[in-house]
Parts: sequence; C-alpha cells; structure tokens
Amino acid sequence: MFRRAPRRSFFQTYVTKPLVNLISPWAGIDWWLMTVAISLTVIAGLAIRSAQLNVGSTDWWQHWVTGGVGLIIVWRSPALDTRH
Amino acid sequence: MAIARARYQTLIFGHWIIYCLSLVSLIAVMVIGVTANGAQSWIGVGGFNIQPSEFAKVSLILTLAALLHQDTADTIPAIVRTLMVAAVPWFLILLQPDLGTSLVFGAITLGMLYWANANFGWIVLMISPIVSSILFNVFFPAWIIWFGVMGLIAWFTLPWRWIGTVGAMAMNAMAGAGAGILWGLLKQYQKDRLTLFLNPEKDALGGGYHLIQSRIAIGSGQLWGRGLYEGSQTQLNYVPEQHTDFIFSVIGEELGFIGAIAVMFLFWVLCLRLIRTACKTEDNFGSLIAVGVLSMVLFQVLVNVGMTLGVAPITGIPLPWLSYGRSSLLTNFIAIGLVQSVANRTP
Repeated sequence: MFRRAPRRSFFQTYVTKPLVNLISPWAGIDWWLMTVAISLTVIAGLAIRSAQLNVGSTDWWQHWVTGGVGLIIVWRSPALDTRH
Repeated sequence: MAIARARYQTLIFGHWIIYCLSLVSLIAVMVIGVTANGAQSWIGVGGFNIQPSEFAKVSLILTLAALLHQDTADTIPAIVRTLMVAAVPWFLILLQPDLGTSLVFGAITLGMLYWANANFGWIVLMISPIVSSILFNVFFPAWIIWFGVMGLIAWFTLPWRWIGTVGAMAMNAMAGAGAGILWGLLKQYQKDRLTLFLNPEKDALGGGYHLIQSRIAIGSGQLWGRGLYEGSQTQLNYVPEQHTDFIFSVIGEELGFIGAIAVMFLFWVLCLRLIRTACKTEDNFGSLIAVGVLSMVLFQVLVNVGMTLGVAPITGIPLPWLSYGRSSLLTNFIAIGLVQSVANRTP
C-alpha cells in the first residue's frame, strides 16, 4: 500500500505553487527596507526632474533606471548566505 | 546545503579579493581618472562615469565585518589592525582629493568598531585629535578642558596607564599645534567649504553662495511647499548642484516642511530597520554588515541635510538614494541587498 499524493487543482499547480516557489527564497527579507529604498528613489526621480527642467539636461529618468538595476541586485542578494 | 555553504565561504573568504579589487580601482582612478569639481574620482567605462570610491564603501563594510566577526575589537592590536585595513582606501580617496567620502569611511570604521565591542573611550580618543585641531585654533580655553578630559579617558581606559595617557595627550597636543600645517595642505575650495558654513555672508557670491541659496530655497518652501516643478529657486537654478548634493533643497522648496519631514521619516524607518536587523541576527558577520550600512547611511544623511541647512560644512557627500549619481545609488542598493541577505536568514 502506498499513500496517494493529494490531488492539486489546476490553479494550485500552475498559479499558487509557482508563486510560492518564487517568493519563498525571499520570505524572510525586510519589506520595510525595500519599501523605503523604492520610495526614496521614486521621490528622487521627481526632484531631479524638477531640478533639470530648465537646464537642458533630461537624464533624470536614468536615476529610475539605475534604481531598477539596484532593485534587481537587492532582489537577488537574499540568495547569498552571509551566516557564520 | 552545499550551495548555501559554498556561497557563504565565497563571501567570507572573498573579502580580501573584494578589498584588493576596490584598491586597484582606487589606484586606477589616480592614473586614468576623470576630474570634476576639483576631484579626480571617476573612471570612464563604456560611456559611463563610474566612481570607485562609492563601491569601496561596501567593500570596506564587507572587509571589516569579515575581520571583526571572529576577533572582537576589545584589544589594542585588533583595533590597530582594523584601522590599518581602513586606512589604505581612506588615504587613496583623500588623495583624489575627496574629503566627503573619506569622512564616510571614518564613520563606517568607527561605527563597526563600536559594534565589535571596542571600548567607547578608545573611540573618543581616536577622534580626539580632530577635535583638538579645531579647538586649539578656534577657542583655546575649550581645548585646555578637552585636553584634560582626554587625559582622564586615556588614564581610565588604556591598558598601560602612564604610557597610554602621555601618548594620548601628546597626540592631542601635536594635533592642535600641527593643525596649521594640515590646513595648508588642503585646497582652497576645501578650506572654504569647511569654514564658510559658519558665516556664508562673508563671501556671498563665492564660497558662501551655495549655502545662502540653499537656505533661501528651503525657507521659501514653508509648510506645504511651492508645489512640484513650481519652486522659483529650483526652476531658476539658483542652487548649484541641486540635482546631486543639494537635492534636499529642491525637496524643501517644492514639497515644503511636510515633504522634508516625510523624507526624514523614511530615513528614520530605514535606520530603525537596520538596527533591528543588526540586533536580531545571531550571526556576528551579518550584524556587523547591518551596522556598517547603518553608519554609512546615517552619517551621509546627517552631513548632507546639515550642509543644505547650514549647520555642517559643505563636503560633497551625496544624500543616499536621492542625489543623482549612478555609482552612489547602486552602492546604496548593494548595501541594502547585503542587509536583506542577513535579514532573510534571521529567525
């Protein structure tokens, strides 16, 4: 006799489980840190745009692009194990 | 388990590689660097200017955390070793010359030493020559009191009382008397930055111009601000470098006191979470990383906001996440990423 594995619905198999698998490596991260860093970067983009409106340079959006790259770094970093 | 172990080994034992790479990049700046605003701090790579001194901050945090996580800084040799490791990149950055970033290195080192159980009296003694050099030349009676207090701290905290106390007092006396020589080594714009914040009206169209315009901008924002894209100081470009080091003046003018307080609140939350991570984690290495990042962010915020308000000298320190600059922004995100990796494994 062997125990039959519980049957999963289509939704559980293709939506819930992949989502849980995606988030679980980062389940313990500090969401406040993420939120603050993102909020400050968004505010910075607006402030930089304001400062550049009348000077002819329009590269304020690069701050958001760099922030996006930084966010990817932050998103990948929790995979690092720094424990000793 | 094997992968996690391998990654951990890489990070701990790879700190010397990261440290050496940052030193190589700092030396490269001196050879092929691009000069802007009086400092040779950037390297042109593929059309982008990279500032290695920004990335060196994270490198220093990792290196010091790896050094201090096993041997705490409760002995003089451990402190000397830590200071020697921090002194090399610090000196290279001072040569650029980038006074602001070199000060951030000092803040990171002192913050991490304190967290690694260094005697608080020793930390005070470490910064005492700087205070002595200022007091000796600005207000001599205060220097006499400071000199005496440092002698007492040395007497009660250093292991060899007589030698330690005489050494500490001699160091303070030499720093006070030798400040004039050090002053002569600074560039004129650095001297202006360090002194004009006390009386910017003395050179209103020169060295004090930044500060006067910044204060006008922040003051004109009043409670609710003039509205985004509506600030006259900002739109007419009265504040130089307003999208980089003086970004807080834009926020103060256009978003007002409420907007400025909201930004400060975000930094307050960030610092609280960093402290929480440092306290909660059971791993010394991770805890030291969190404190290193906290020291870096806190010092930069205090000095940058202080300089836009006129209570700190203008030293070219960017406001984390807010000042325009790819290297600075990426460094801050890398630092937060490291803390996230600590937080992710905190029970």
